[in-house]
Amino acid sequence: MDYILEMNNISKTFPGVKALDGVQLKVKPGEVHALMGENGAGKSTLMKILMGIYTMDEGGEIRFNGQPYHVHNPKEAMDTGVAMIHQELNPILDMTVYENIFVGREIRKYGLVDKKAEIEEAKKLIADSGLHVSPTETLRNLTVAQCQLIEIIKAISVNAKVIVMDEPTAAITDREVELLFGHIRKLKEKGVAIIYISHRMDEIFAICDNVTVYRDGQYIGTGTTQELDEAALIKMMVGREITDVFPKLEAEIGETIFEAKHIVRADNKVRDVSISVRRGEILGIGGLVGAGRSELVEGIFGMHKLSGGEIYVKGKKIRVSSPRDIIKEGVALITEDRKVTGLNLSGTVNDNISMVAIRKTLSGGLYSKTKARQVSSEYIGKLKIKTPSGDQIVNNLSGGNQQKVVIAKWLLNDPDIIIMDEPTRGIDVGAKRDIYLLIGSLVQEGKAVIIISSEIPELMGVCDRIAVMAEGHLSGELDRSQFSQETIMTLASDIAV
Amino acid sequence: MNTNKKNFSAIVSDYFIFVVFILLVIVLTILKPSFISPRNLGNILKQASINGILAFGMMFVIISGGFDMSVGSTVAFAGILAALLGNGNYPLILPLIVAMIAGLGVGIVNGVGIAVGDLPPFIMTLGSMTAVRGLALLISNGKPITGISEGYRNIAASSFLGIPMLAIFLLIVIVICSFVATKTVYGRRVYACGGNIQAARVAGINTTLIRISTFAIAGLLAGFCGFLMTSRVTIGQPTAAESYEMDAITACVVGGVSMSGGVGKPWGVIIGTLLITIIANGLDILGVSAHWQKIVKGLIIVLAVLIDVKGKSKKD
Repeated sequence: MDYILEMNNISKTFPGVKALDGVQLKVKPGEVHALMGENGAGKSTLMKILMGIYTMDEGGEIRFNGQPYHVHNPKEAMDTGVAMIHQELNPILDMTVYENIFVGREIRKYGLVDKKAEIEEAKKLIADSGLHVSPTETLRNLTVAQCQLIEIIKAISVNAKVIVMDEPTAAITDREVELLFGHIRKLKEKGVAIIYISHRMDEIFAICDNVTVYRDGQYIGTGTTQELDEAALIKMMVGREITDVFPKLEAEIGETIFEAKHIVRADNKVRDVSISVRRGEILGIGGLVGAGRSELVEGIFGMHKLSGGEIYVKGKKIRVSSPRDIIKEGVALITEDRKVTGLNLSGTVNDNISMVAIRKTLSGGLYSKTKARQVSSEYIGKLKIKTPSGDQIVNNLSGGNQQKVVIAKWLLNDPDIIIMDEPTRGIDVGAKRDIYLLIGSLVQEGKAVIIISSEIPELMGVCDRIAVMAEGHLSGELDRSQFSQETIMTLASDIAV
Repeated sequence: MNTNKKNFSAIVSDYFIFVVFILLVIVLTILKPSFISPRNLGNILKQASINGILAFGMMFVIISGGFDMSVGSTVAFAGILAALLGNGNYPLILPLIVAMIAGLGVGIVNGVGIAVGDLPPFIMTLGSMTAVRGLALLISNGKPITGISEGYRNIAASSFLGIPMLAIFLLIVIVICSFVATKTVYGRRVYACGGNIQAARVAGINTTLIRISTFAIAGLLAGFCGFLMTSRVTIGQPTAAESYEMDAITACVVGGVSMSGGVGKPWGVIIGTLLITIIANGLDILGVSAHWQKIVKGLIIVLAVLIDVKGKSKKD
C-alpha cells in the first residue's frame, strides 16, 4: 500500500546537539500511527520539521502523497494537507470559537472578514463534531477538552490528510478521551492519517495501528500494536527492560498526620469533603477533570477561600488564610501546572530549588550562592535531575526534569505531608518511574503523600488508599484491596448514589 | 438556568466604564450647568482630538501585544517639520505629508527593532522617545518655530457646521480605525497576535509584519497629530506633547484595552479618551487647581480600572 507520508533519513543538528540522526517515519492513509520515545527522543523535533518550523539537515527526504514535500512554515504545511494539534494547546483565549477556527485563513467577502459566513461554517463544523458550544463563545469560558476539540475541528476544516496530535489527552479526562477517540475513528474512516504522540500506553493500544519508536534521536523500529506489547515497547523506548511500571516500596503506616474535615470552598467548587492521611501512607485522589480535586487541595493550601471546614496537621488545628500558614506546618503542594505555579522558568535550577526553603541558603542572614549551590546539588543528585549544572536555566530542561526540580524545591523545606497534583503529567516512562520511587522513599521516611491523578492505573499502582471525587463532593473511598478500574470509574461518574 | 443573570452581570462589567462616564457627566452638569453648554462641549472635543487620535494608534499597538512610549516625541518632531514647511511657501499638503511620513518612519523603526530585533517594546520605544525628542530639538535648534501661515493656522481654528475641524479629524480617524480593527482580516490578525503570538504564528500569520505595522500606524497617526498640533498652538514647539504617550495609553487602558494584548474595543478607547478629557475639563471649569487635577486624574484612572478588573474577575 502507498504511503501518504514518507520521511526518510531525517537529521537535525542544533548547535552542539544532534537531535535527530537519520530517522524515518512512514504513514499510510487511514491509520493511526503512534510516535513513542522518552522526552528528548526527537519526536517533537521530527514533527516540527514536518510542519516547517525547523528545517532539516541536508540529505533527508520527505514525500507527501508521493510528491516531494517542502514547506517553510505551518501555513504551507496546512495548505499542503498536514495539520498539527500542539501539546501546549494554542488557543487564543480572548477570541471566540469561530475566530479561533478561522484564524490565519479568514473567510473574506469584499476583502473584509465575512463574520456571518464564518459563524455559519463554524456552527456546521461544531455540530458535526458533536460538541455543544456556541460559535460566538469566548474560548476563555470553555474547558480544556472543549478547546482541544476546537483545535481538532480546525485541523479537520483545513481538509488535512495527515493530522499530528501531540499529547492530545494530556489535559482531558477519560470520558473526554473516549470522545476524542470517536473523532479519531471518524477521521480514519475518511482516510485521514493521524500521527499520535502520547506517553500513555493504554491509549496507544486502544487507538493506534502502528508504532514507531525513537530513542536519543535514533530510529529504533516500527511495528503494529497487535504484535507488540507494553513490555516490548518500553524496552524499545528506554533501551532496557522495566519490569514494574508502578514500583511500590513497602512502608510502615503510622498515625494520622493530616486531616481536612468538611472542606467547603467559598466558590462552592468543593462541597463538604473530608480526607485524611497517615504517616507512611500514599493517598490517591481520583476523579474526572473538573471534579474538584485540584480545587480541594488548593483550598486546603490557602490558595482559595474556604467557607467551611477544619484542617488538622499532626493533631493540631490550623487556621489557613494563605499558603504560608500551612507551609509552616510542614505541608507542601506540588501544583498541577509546573509552568504556571511551579517554576520560575527563566531562573536557574539553583534559584528554583532554593525558592521555598530560602532560609537554608542563607549565610549570615544573606543569600549565599555557594550555599544555594551546595543544597541544590544534593537534591540534583538525590532526584537524578538531568541537568548540565545547577546554573542551567530551568526552561531548557525536559518536562520530567522540570517536575523533579519542583519536587526538589519542596523537599528542601523538609515537609511531612506532600500533596502532588498530577505529578507525572506529560513526562516519560523513565522519569515517571523515578518519581514513583521517590514517593516510595518519602513514605518510607514516615512522611505522608497525597497524589491527584487522572490516570487510574497510576493511582492503583502507587496508592494505599484512593478517595474519589465527583462534582465537588467525595463519592467514595477505597482501600488497596478494593481497587478496581471499574469501581473507581463508577465512583468518578457518581452513578452509585 | 441562570444564563440570563450571568449575561446581565457580564453586560454590566463590559459597559462599566461607560456607566462611569455617564455618571461623571451628570455629576459635572449638576455641579456646573455650563459644563454641557455647546461651547464647552466644543472645547472638550477639541481637547480630546489629539489625544484621541494618538490613542487609536496606541490601541493597535497594545492589542497586538506591544507598547509605544515614543508617540509624544514623534508628535513634537513631526510638528517641527510641519512648522518649518508651513510658513506659506508651499501648499499645505506638503507639511501634512512630510509630518506623516516622519511619523511613519519612527513607527517602522520601532516596529523593526521590536519584531525583528526582538527588543522589548518598552526599551525600544524608550530609546526612540529620547532620540526623536533630540531630533526635534536639533532641527529646531531648541527654539520654537514661528511664522506659521494663516491658512495653516485656520485648520485647527476653523469649524464645519459648528463642529471644530479637529473633532472632525478625530471622527474620521475613529471611523477608519474602528473599521480596520473590527471588520478587516488585518484587524482580526492584530487581535490574534496579541492574544497568543505563538498560536498566530502557527496559524500562518506573518506576526513580524503585523507587529511592525501596528507601530507604523501609531507613528503615522502621531505624525498627523504633529501637523494638527502645530496648527493648534500656531508655533512649532520642540518640547511640545511631553507625556502625550501616557495620556494615549491611559485612554486605552481606561477604555478596557488589556495591557497584555489581544483585548480591546474601539468604542472603549473613545470612552477612555472622552473620560480623561472631561475629568481635566470638568475640574478646570470647577476651578480646581492644576496640581489637584493631576491627583484626581491619577486616582480616577486607578479606581476605574480597579473596579473594572474586580468586576471581571467576579464573573469567572
